[in-house]
Amino acid sequence: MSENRRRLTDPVTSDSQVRVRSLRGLSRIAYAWLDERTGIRSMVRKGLYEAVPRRGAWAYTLGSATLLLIVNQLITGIFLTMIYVPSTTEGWESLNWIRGHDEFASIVRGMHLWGAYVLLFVLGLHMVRTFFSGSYKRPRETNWLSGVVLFVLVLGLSITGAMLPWDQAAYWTAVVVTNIPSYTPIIGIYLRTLWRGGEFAGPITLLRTYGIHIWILPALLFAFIGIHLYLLRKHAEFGSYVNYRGFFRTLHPRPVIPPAEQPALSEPVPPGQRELEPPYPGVPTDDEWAAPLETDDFYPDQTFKDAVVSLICIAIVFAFGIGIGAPLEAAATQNTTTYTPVPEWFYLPLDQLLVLAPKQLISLALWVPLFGLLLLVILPFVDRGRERNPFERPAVMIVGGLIVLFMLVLTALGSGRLFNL
Amino acid sequence: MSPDRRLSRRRFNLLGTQAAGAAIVSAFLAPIVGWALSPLFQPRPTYVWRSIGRVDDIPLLTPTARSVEFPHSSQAWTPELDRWIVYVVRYPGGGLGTFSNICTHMQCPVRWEPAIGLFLCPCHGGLYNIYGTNVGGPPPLPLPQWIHRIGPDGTVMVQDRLDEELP
Repeated sequence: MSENRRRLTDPVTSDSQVRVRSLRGLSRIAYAWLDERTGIRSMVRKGLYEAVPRRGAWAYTLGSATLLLIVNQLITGIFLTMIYVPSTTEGWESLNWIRGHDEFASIVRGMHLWGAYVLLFVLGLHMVRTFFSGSYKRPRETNWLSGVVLFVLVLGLSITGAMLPWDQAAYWTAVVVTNIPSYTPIIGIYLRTLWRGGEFAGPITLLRTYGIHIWILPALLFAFIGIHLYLLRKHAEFGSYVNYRGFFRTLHPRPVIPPAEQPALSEPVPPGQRELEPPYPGVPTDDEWAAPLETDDFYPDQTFKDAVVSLICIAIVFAFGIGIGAPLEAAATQNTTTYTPVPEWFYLPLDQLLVLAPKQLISLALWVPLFGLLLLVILPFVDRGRERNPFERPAVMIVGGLIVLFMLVLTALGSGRLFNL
Repeated sequence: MSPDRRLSRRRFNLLGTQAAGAAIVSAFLAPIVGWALSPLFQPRPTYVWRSIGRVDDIPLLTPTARSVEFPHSSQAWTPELDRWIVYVVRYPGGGLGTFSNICTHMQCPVRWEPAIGLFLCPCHGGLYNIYGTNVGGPPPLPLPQWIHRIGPDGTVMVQDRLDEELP
């Protein structure tokens, strides 16, 4: 009887050293109770005490900053659905009304707009960082691909969001953007009709774009964020195929431990120490794998840097959201001979292509961004060498640099239009 | 119970799972896809005629913007009307132009620029002459015209239908 009782008793509470004499003791018992039923202790330990490479710690903050900015979009976006009416007759009115009537609603809208701008910028930096450090290499190709999907989803969210206020800027963005698919061979006109819900942009266009913006794209976005984070953690600090060669090996000499000498996974964890991660891929390969020499704990070493960068991002969003806010032009109308539509800044390189492409090459110009997307998709399958040092991968760096330069030149050519020059 | 029978039971469950899954997915997809594609199968809108004034009042060789109200082409539930621009121009030979200001490139609002004597699209720099013919920039087709007719009393009527399909 007493044997059975002891077996059923919680290991912490049966420890007899813990008594419910204080709040701390009570909380320990409660935590042990919860852990037995949910496994929360190992979940938290796994989530927080992950080893991350010490080098590049500040560069690694861009991903969490991106995530936080997406969360900012989620929170402000949810509350915007209680502020804004997705209608051609009332949408603009609902946003016009909050000016002077509801300053907090204006701040929410301002933070949503500036959050999107800062998100696009930080997401770009995050991609560039990943590109430079060759972090897309085996076995992280799928992580890169899920990131490419996230990038496309964020671009889609940005451009659909720009259509919603249904002021002149939004309306003409809607007209031009929904017209772009019409240059698809054969089915182009049908694609435009489906998106617009008719021949011209109007109420159905707005309603469909709204549904895409607030449900379809965010649902996909968060699904792929889950995949992205799962893959990140799956490969842990030992992400890439031969991390330290050449230049980096001189900085961090670290012998490659043969699998036979690796610590066994089942070894008991000494008290007070974090669990050892498997330092090599679960499936043995003939290739060399190496781990970073120095690591920090994710919590609190890396999270502190993450928090600093995230705080800076949110401070910018907050300051610009209040200080400048989100503009609202005159209500949408086709009935104008004076309005000059101006593309969103993140959309400027593509729009400048439309300026430059003569009428025979319009379709070709519209295939250019898709070609760029194709390059992003095939990158990890083309650049498969062991080398991760950017200075030892000149071909990839030059092609990537030329693409960025091409986009910057297009932006510079079109930048005058942002200010109606 | 023979091994064959056990195998067939397993196979039955496998096929049953797949069939049920396919039926459930179809039940979700059928109305959604049908709804999403419905704009392609909407009945042709009934076109309407609107007066834009007398032909004698239209200036010679000077395109002038008039506003005209049409019902929404396919979006019947909103009470609002679409207000469109008609650029009217009379030619010396007796011809009449009733241009829309929809650019054939990306459908931006084209404007008449008296200084250069051309229609200019402010988005991507498309240019059309006074007859709507392309003379520069990326637009692939001439400036479209609203279908028009001149009544016996000299009233110009335009229809909410363009004389070409926009690319």
